[in-house]
Amino acid sequence: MDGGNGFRARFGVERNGQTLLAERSYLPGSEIKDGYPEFTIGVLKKLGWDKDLTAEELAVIEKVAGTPDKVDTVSWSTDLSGGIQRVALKHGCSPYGNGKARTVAWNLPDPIPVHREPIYTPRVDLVTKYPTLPDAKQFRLPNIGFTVQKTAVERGIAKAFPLIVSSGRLVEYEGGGEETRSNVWLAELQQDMFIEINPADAAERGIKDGSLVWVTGAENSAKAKVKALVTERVGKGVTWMPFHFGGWFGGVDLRDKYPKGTDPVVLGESANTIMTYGYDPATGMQEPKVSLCQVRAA
Amino acid sequence: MARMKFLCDADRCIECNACVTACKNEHEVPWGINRRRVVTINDGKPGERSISMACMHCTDAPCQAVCPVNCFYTTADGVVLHSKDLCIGCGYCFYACPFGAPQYPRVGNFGSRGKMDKCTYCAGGPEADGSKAEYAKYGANRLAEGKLPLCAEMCSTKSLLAGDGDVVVQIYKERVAKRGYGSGAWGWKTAYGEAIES
Repeated sequence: MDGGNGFRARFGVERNGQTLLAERSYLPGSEIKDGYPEFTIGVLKKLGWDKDLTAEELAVIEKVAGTPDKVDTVSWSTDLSGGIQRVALKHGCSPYGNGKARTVAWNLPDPIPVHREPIYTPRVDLVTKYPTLPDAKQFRLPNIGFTVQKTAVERGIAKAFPLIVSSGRLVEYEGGGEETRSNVWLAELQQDMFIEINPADAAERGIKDGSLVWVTGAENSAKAKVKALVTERVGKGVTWMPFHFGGWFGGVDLRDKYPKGTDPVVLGESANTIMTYGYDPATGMQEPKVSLCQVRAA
Repeated sequence: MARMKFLCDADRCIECNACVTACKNEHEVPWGINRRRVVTINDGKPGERSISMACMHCTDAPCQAVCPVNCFYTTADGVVLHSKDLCIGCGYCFYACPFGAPQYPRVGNFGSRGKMDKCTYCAGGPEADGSKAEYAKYGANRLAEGKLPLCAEMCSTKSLLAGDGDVVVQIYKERVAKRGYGSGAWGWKTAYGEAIES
């Protein structure tokens, strides 16, 4: 459809007595001049559009249904023939329906997003008021964020690891950096793994710009040996590492472990070594880009 | 005849180093030799600025003035080139250059210098245009093919401009007039002995 389609009618057609379908809004050229649900065989039959399906498409749809009484439930998203999508588009309609956008996600733990302190936070005073969500099974896996957060507070992790560490991208690098570091012209641009640290934090620790430091993480006695970049680009209490390096682990250069001829020109500690447990309490998305750390001169 | 110049608009450079990489790739420049580099001033502070620097192909070039073996010459396009056959690696040009452009490969112990290498404005050297001998010593000769230096051609924000001085200045002036500010084309006055009046 030129110019894009409407919102998917993903969450049913009605809630609390109000329609979830679009009202007085439809695609140009649509034969249905209003909102409509996702297309199934049942919907096609009500519209009389099931006659547009070919015999081949119907045969596949019956096979997907398994038994004749379930044919009406076959949807555009399960129909392996693509016939339901074809017929919907033929009538100027979006196969996934024409619904409303929603701001209240009633089937998520927080229907409207609220602040929740990170599992590893330097502001432990905020954990009581803004704790993460209770431990739960998400999709097929457990998320024990609440227990980890509570344990971290009880064990005083934020005292031993007072600095926020986040990771990110260098403009010279691509992804994990293996390809970039294997290309001499690009590898020459950033030759060392480093951690950005505020001048105030560096001064407290006796760290000079360009010197080697040990970065330690809050779990598994994680440690990494990297160069210090003392800069006001990060605030006091915050550090930052690029995530493009690899080939060192815990201060040891592992170049001799690479198969012959495959070692990149530049190696360095991986930022992920320092990162800790954490999954988004709503989506289960992993959070490997921010945690707590401590830095000391090497 | 055009007078070829470089102009780096410091308000546009994003320190991506694409110019540096393009140069290295085009001319097979070895590790440690930088015909072009990006310099960042006030790194990590408000007012941070980056500029891409290489040989600016100066008017009345200081390198040329101090060279004891007269290995430099200025082409009809205003490009300052040199002969690696004549160069003795003395390093005088490095001290004379206001931009730190001349580079020297380390050829032995005690920091002894090899023959000087610098930006050629993608215009090769004294050998025949496009010859293998020219490529081995100076890299590609794009200018002879009617192409501009690759660094400027590659620049994603068009911060680095290369071409006829009058045209380049015109583009820069229009830019400054339209956006209402310009921290200057750094190095322009030093290299070409004239300010850009806007």
